[in-house]
Amino acid sequence: MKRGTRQFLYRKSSIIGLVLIGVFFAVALAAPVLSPADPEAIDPNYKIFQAKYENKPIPPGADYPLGALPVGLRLYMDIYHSLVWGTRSALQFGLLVVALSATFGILVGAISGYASGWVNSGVMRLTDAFLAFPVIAGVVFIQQVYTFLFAPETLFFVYLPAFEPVSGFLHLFSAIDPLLIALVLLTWMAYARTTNSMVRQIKEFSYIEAARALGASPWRVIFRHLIPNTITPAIVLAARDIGGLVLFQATLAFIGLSESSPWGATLAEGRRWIIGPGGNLFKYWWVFFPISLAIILFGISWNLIGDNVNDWLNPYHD
Amino acid sequence: MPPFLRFVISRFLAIPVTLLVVTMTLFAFVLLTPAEARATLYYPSRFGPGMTEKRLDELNERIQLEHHMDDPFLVQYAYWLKDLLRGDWGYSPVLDEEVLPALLRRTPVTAEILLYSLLLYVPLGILAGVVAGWNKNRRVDRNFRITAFVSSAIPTFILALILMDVFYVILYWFPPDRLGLDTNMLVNSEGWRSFTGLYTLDGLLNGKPEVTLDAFRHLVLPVITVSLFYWATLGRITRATVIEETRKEYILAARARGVGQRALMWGHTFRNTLTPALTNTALSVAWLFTGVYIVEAIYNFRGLSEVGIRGVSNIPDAPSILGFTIYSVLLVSLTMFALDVLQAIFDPRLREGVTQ
Repeated sequence: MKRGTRQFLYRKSSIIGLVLIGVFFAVALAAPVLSPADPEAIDPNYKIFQAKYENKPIPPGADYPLGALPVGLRLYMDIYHSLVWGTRSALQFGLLVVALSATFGILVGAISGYASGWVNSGVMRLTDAFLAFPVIAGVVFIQQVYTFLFAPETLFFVYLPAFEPVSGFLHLFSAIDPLLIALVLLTWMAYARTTNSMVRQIKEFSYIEAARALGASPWRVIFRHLIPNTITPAIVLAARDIGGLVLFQATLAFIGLSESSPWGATLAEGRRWIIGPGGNLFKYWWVFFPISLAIILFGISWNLIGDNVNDWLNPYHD
Repeated sequence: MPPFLRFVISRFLAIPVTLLVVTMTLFAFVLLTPAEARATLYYPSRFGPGMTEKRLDELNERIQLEHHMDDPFLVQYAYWLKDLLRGDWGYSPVLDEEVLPALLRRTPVTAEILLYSLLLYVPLGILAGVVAGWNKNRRVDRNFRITAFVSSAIPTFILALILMDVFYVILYWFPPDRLGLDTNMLVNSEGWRSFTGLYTLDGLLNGKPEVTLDAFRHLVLPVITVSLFYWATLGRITRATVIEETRKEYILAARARGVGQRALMWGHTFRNTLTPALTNTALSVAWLFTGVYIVEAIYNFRGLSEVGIRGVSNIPDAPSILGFTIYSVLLVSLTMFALDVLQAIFDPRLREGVTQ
């Protein structure tokens, strides 16, 4: 094994990161075993059950390992189930967004860097323009567009004439979470910028020139030589982004702007038992603590991996 | 033209370019929706009492004709842009007011949180980074790294929830909302004159220091929540720059000449470390605004985020969401511009027009 790889694998912080991520993956894969979903449930991410009406959360016990939250008259939501299935949806979401935005960003950065000249400055100016976009504004905007396009029947407005949901090509997008589209559209810029600056540096190296002289097509140069040699910072960025995006998704669910994060949505249900009337962090800590801890550990583990991969791949950089 | 001025002007000209790109992208998305839906962008603020379904359809069709909704993209975009530039940003049914005045009225609320957060975390982040970087691997550095790691690992909303529970529910030191009940009445009373819209300053200008104090009391938690995360990021970047800087030969030369540690830290290298720190801050401004909006939503500050977030409901409110988006981009661009100018003031290479 190479020395750098060994250092990476034997370092305490990267072991912690890898173990945590391993646990998250295991929980995500084993979710149907750890907490079987009700086959009749509308959304498998939540387990809603009926119990005697009491206007307070059910404390942890044999039936509900982490307790349950009241969500309606005689209806309760199992926290343990949300925790387990939330892991699944968080990992899916994080990996998917990062895979899409990294691919797009790297392609944009590498191609425009290879083209150079006015194409490159134009594309980079466009990238900078997207950097000025507060993500929350983009999320809100895309969601509204989605409602108009795919679910006009949910709009409630007396002065709105009836119109049909779109069909055809656009309709393919209706199954995709609008938050995913918004985040991909608003996070690719970092990948494009780092890849672009690296590509512009190594483009002048003689091995690239040799490849070109041997008759390699621009696509071959980009995909065989430029991207593999400039991908390191993008990998580091991607690892950190997975954690960051999942935290952001949970945040949006918490303030009610998205429904795609079971973690955030469950915390939002539990919010009034922490800061609402009669609520208290010390009395109902179990409503809040397990999922918060999962969210924090998720962020930490991907950050640890990012930092250590960075040290591994650029050993001389602090 | 002096190079400094040229730098400032070139950066300023980037703002309209950004806005053009952003509005075009937004409008392309808007155009995906059917024309009937787009016509709601131009609905009047009040409907007459005798509005029937038939007359509504006629109104909708008339708006579609008047606003050229069958024309090609660029023509429609130009008409829409003209309305925007004239200040006609549409009427929001959810907020029940015109969008542009609604945004302008809420700007000071957001600006106040943002201003005090920047004032708190930029100096603290740079200070912590410099001290930690110069003491690499000593105890100060280790403590800094652990603190920074923890504070950037806790998501804003969890931190906000914990702070609010401890300092409001249990201790009742720092309540949510922008002002307390008494001061709010004072602010809405006859004799109050609004100079800046920032209650912390207006309180002093009106000769009512209790308003200033109360406003600060309510700002403590939001500002801490926003600052903690960005403090950590800024500190880490400054630390990395300082470490790189200390390895350079001019430091060795200065040491050999007997220059003291303190002079090296704050005299010789300090300015060099400011540039990357400010670049990073400028680049992360868009995320900073996102953070401000989340904090507003949780601490019940009725700032700009209210326009955007309340727009997401089952009542179609495209004007307020479009307005919120464009206005945010404008604010982010202006803040980035201010930080760029600040950077040019600190960095003589940018000021004198030397290319790096």
